[in-house]
Amino acid sequence: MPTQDTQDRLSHILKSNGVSRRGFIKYCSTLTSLLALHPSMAMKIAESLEKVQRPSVIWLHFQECTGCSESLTRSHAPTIESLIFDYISLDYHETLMAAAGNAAEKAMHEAMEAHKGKYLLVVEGSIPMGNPGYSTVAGESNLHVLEKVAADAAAIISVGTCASFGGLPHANPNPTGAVSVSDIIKNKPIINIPGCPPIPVAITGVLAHYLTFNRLPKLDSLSRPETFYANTIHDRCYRRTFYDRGLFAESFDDEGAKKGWCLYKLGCKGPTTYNACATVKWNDKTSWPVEAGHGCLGCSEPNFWDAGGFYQALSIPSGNYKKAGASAIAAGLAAGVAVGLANKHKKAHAVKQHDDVSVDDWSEKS
Amino acid sequence: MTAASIPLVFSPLAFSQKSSTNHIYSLLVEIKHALENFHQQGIKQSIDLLATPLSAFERKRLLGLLGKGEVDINLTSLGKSEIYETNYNGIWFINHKDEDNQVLTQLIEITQIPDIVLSPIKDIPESTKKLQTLIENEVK
Repeated sequence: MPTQDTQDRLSHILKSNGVSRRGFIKYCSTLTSLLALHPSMAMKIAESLEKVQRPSVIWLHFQECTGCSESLTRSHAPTIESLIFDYISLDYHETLMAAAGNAAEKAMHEAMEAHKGKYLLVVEGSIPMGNPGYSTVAGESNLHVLEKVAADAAAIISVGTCASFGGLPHANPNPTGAVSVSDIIKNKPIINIPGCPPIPVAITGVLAHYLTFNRLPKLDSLSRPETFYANTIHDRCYRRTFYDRGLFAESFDDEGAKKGWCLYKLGCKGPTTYNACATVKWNDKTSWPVEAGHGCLGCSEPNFWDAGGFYQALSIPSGNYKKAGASAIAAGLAAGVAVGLANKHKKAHAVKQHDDVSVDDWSEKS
Repeated sequence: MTAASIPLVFSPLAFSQKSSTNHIYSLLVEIKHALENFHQQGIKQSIDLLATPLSAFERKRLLGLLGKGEVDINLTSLGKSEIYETNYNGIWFINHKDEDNQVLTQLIEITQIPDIVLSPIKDIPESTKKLQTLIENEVK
C-alpha cells in the first residue's frame, strides 16, 4: 500500500494517471531536451524525479496583465508543461485558485507556515514604488506582500519581463515607479524568466530543473537560465543564412518577405535579444514571430519598450541620432549589429542624462 | 483604390534549393562522427533535431536521405512515438508526439537500440505478479 510519502512522488502520480514507465522516460527525454542537457541525463532525471516530493508554490500577481499565467496554462493537450504544472502544489494563485477573499489569503498563510523555508515563490508583475497604493491586494501593497512572502521562500522565480526587469509598467515615463523583484529582494536566490510573455516551457523547465537537482539552473549575468537564454534569437534563427548573404526583406509584402529572407531591415531585434523562441517556438512548436513573418520585438530584454521603434532596424538610430545613423548604415550592416548594441546602451544613458551624442562618441565594438 | 480592392495573394513560404540554409551537410558529418565514436568507444549519442536550426524542408530532406531500414517500432504512451532504424545501422530516428499528435521532440540516436525500447527491469516483478494472476484466473 503506498504511503502518503510515495503518493506525493511524481512517478506515483503519473502511474496513477495511467502513464507507464516508458511514458515517464519519454517525458524525461523531452524534459532533458528542453533543458538542453546531455541526452544521457534523461535516465538520471527519471531516477531523481521518482523520489521528489510535490513542492509548494506560491504565485503572486502584481502590476501585470496575467499574460505569463495565460502563456503557461493555454495548452491544447497534456504537454510536458501541463504535466509539470499539474504536479506542483500550487497553493496560491489569484487567477487559478477556486478560493477567494479571506479563504484565499488563509490558504497562502497556511502554505507559508507549513512549508516554511521550502516553498517556491513565483512573482508575476512589477512592483510600484512611486506610491505603494498604486497596486494592492487585500489592502496590502505589492511591496509589503513581496517582502513578507519572500522572507521564508527557498527561492524566487520572477516570471515575465515585468517581474524580471520592470516590463511595460517600467517604460518611460514609468508613472508608478515600477521596479523588478531583484530591485527589492537582495537576500534570496532569484531567477529571472523574462519574456512578454515567456515561453511556457522556460517556466516549467526551471521548475523541473529545481525539482530534479534541488537548485536553480546556471544563470547568465541578468539571472536568466542559460538553458533558454544563452543564445540570441539571431544565433539560432533559421533565416540567419539570408542575413549572412545580405538578403533582406525591405517591406512586409515584397518578394524578399515571401521568400523568407532576413527581417533585420524591418526592425527585427533578434541580434540583441536572448531567448529560445527560434528553437523551442510557440503554441506547441507551431511557429514563432520570425517564422510568421514578423521581426523579433526583443521582449525578453530590459527596457525593450524604450529601445527604439519595433519597425526600425537596429542600425538605424531614432531621435537625435539620425545623422550618425546614416554613417553606421554606410559602414555595413554587420557593424550595424554591434552599433545597434552600443546605440541601445548609449541612447538609454543619453536620454536619461539629456546628453547630446556625436558620431565620434560611437564605438564600433559591442 | 480602396483597401477592399487590393488583391490578397497567399503563397506558401518558398524553401527551394536556393533558399536552403545548408545545414544538412554539417549535420550529416556530425552523425558520421558520432557513428564512428559509437563503434570505436561505445559512446551513444543523441541529436535533438528540433534544437537544430533547420527549416521544415531541410528536416524532411535529412530524414529522406537517411531513409527507413528494417526495424520500425510504434510506442503508445502519452501519445504516439515513431521509432525506426534508418537505412544506416546504428542510426535511429525517434519522433515523440503527444496525445494531440503534436511533435514533442525529434531525435537522431546513434546506438544499437534506443533505451526507451528496452523493457524496464524495475517493472518485471510487477509483470510477474500480473501474469501469475492471469494464470490463476485461466486455471479457474
